[in-house]
Amino acid sequence: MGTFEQRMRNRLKVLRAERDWSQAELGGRLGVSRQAVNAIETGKHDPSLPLAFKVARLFGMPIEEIFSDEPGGDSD
Amino acid sequence: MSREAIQTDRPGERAEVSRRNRFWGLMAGFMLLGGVAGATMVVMERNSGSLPAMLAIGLVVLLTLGVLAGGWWFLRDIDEVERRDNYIACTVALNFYLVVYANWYFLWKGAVVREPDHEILFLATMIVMAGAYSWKKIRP
Repeated sequence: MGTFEQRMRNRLKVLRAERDWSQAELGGRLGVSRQAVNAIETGKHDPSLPLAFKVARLFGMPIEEIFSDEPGGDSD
Repeated sequence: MSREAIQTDRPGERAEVSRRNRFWGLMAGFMLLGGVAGATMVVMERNSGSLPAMLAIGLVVLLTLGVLAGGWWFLRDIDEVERRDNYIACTVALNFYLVVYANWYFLWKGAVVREPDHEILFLATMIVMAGAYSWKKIRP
């Protein structure tokens, strides 16, 4: 990742683990692939706003409690 | 019980398996189209080097409808990461084509190389597109 592009951080992996969901299970619930979930969890892809809202609704939390643009979050 | 069967116990995993099956079904369809076009070219080259007009028109209709309908279905069904990878691969391939064709054209006009070969350009562009797509798959 280049320094010109600051990726979002997120708690997706932790929230998924708390529910004992696999990446495929979460992907299926969100309508995206397992690879997409992995890319988001590892910070290699920032989800679109509609997908971020979908994630927030699925976990019943505000978006800003899952995604953050500040350093020091859960994702790598 | 197979691993696949165990993974489909949950609704999300069932949906993911279904999505994956649709994806690979479409990929098989695109490969079949490519196979038909390739096989026709091989048979044509081994014979007279030309095609009956009706067969040529039939192939054009098949390829055009197949790519348009398949592309529409594909883009409708894939997620945003897959769409991003496809856009990147297409952009890299288009830039490759623009640069290589323009350079080859001017070098040809300057009598440095022979006239641009469109089959080579087409194949090279496809290879570059596949390479860019694979690179994005390995390093999302």
